[in-house]
Amino acid sequence: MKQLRLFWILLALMVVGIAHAQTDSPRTVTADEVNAIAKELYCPVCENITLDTCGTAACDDWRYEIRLQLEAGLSSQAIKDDFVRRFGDRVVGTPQDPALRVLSLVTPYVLVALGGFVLLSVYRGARRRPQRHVLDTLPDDHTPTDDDLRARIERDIQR
Amino acid sequence: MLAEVGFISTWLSIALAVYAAAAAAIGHYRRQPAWTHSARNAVFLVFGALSVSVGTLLVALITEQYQLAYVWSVSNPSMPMVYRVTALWGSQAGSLLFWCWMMSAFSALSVATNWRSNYRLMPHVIIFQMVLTGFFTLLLMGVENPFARYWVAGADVLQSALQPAGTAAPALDALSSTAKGLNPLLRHFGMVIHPPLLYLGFVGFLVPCAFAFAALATGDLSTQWIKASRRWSLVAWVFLGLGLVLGGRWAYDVLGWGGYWGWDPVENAAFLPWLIGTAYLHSIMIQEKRGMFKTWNMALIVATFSAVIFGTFATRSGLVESVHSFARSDIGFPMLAMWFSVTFTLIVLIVWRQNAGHLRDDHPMTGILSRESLFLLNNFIFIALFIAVFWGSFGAPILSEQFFDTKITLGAEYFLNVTPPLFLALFVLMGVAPLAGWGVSAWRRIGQGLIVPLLLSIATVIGFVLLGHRTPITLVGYGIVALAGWVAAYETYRAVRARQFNLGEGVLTALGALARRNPRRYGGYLTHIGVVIIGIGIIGSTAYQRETQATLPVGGEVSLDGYTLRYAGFEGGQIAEDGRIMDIAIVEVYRGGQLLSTLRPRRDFFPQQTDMNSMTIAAAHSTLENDVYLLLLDWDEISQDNATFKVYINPLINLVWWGALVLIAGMAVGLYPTVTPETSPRRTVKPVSGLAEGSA
Repeated sequence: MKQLRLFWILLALMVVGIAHAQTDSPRTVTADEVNAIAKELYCPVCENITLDTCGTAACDDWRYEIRLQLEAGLSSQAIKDDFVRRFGDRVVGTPQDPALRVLSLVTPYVLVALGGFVLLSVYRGARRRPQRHVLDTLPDDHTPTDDDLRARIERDIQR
Repeated sequence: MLAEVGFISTWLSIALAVYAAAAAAIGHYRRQPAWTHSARNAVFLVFGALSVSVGTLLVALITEQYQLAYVWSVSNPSMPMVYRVTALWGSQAGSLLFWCWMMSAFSALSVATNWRSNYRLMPHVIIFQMVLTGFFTLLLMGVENPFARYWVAGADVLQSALQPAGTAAPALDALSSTAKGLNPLLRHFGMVIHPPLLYLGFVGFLVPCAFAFAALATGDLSTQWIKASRRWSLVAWVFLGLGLVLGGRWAYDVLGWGGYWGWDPVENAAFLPWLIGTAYLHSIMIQEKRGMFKTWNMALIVATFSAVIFGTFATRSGLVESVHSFARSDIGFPMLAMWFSVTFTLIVLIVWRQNAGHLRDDHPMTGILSRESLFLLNNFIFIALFIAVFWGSFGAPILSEQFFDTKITLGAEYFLNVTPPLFLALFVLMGVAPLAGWGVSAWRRIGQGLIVPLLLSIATVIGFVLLGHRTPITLVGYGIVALAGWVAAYETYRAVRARQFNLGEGVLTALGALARRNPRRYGGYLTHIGVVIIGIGIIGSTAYQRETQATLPVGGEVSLDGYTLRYAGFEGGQIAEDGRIMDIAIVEVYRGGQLLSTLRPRRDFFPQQTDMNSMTIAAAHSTLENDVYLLLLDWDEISQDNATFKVYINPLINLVWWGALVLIAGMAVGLYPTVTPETSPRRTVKPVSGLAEGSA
């Protein structure tokens, strides 16, 4: 009886141990999870090609590295930060460095605002009455053509 | 012999271009028409000489003259004829020669067609065109001579067009067996016509810019320069647009990433002149109709051409690395200097004329709600887009490297945040502006014109909801884009109905009559509809793209978005006519249990290539609804039992290509010469007796 109890205890310990070992083992990572992160990273070697589509052997290795990092439980942001730390801000679509990020994202709006200012001055300039007196206020494409003129002369002759 | 002919004719073209520019200047400033006539003839000769050069290189490629370094580097004996011909623009030297030839062709054609009607502008048009043609040809011969041949001196191999002393020609067999062949990425139908179209677009803007220069230099600042060059601008714009779309198609088929636009700096370099060129095409209408925005239009065409030269510089100098760019080259600095000189000169001329009061508008802006102010707003949005794209592609990466000592990349994330609101604003204007009148408009009139298109847009959005596209932001996008299309369609419909009612014409007759009487308006509407179709395709394929990757055994299946793909088998080691080795997977596509098609994604291997020697060729099951796009990524080399695939579902992507065809149709209508309304038939007028009597 004692032996049977010991057997059940050992069996229970074994089950708990296996369960514990399973929670510690790396989780299964799909290729789609790897690609989702690789899509947001640029190949450190070939410029302007995202890591998920780059066909070089080096990029194969980096994708494998992302897989290992995911299996180890790292978050997407932690993986990106790791790549930036190792290869610089060029490996992400927008820089992680705060100064560079502000420079990148704010500058176009500043430039567009300046463009708006230019537009406003063009508009104001256009609102002002032109200084030159314009005799012919008809649009240019209404300038009589030879045919128009001929038709008008013919009409006059008819009268 | 071929090399000598090409070499001499190209240098001759440079000399003739210099002569043409000088003769045109003498003819104008000394008022001696004989010099101007001589300059014109020299322009035709430049075209002739460069035609001989291009023809020579083409013959060398077709007849496999591997002693020419260019032929050796871009072709090999196994290449089919079509790629031998397209190898002409397959690398830096050949494409630059092709570019120069196109410049000379545009110059000759524009001079020939405008000689009588715009004689006053001709000398300066010739000066501008020939200085640029001469410069690019000189750059070609100075840095990237396409007629250089291999010569052997002991163990050394030299490159020179003419045989250096003490050298011998290498054995042809050795050259042909080692010839490199065309970059595999360029062996695609898209690459057969994408570069020529893009060059036509780029070079086409030379003509309006030359006319603008002539107008500024001569002081003839009426709308004449715009009238003379409007068709050229339109042609250049459409070719540039088509070049961009075909480039997208090439990327979609060949680069194997499931998309067509990667916001790559080189793609963007071609997109930038298109943006400014579009603003220009809208803005010149205001000058033609109302005599306004003269300075602005000058600035826009200068910016467009400046963007063309900058884009060429960026692509060819190695400023940015990309699958689209040429190899790093020494042409960078001279081209940058030329870009700066041309832009600076034109800006100085504009400022000079502006300060002298020669560019004053004929009419004031009369109201905020007028077509001209809406066009100005449209211009502003195009400029904003230009700024955003330029900053993301060149500004930020270059400045960060210079001042922060670090290289950054602004990728799709940046562009997809910044540009969509601007594009949507453009579509709003595209819908509203055609309803506004010149001078001033009433809200009520615009509102009334919008009612039916708005209802149709709501119906369109409901249609997309039923298709399963239910993200609110994209539905707003669909609605705005559709509104622009429905306005164009409804305005055309109203005009057709009016003709049917008044003249009893059939639909097609009425449409034809409308297009003939006002080709610009109805060509413009059709172009708008083309852009709308492209816009809907872009929204659908960007927002609703789905993808998955799976490794399958033979017989294994993967499902995505209602489609099931079954890996049916593998055909490894297939050898094509051009020597490439193809590994092909056979995959069946099912939907609802029904077999739709069998796809054959493959990996091509080019054994003779030393640099890039393999390509992933996608296979797609295409319908108007979507593309099931499949890539073969990897496979078990030995057993071929397992293969890894990447599957994309790209909704509405084919609308992008169909929209481009509508765009061409719109351009064709827009280019149709305006028919002057016929004068009313002669009527017999009875003398009014009473009046006659009364007057007597």
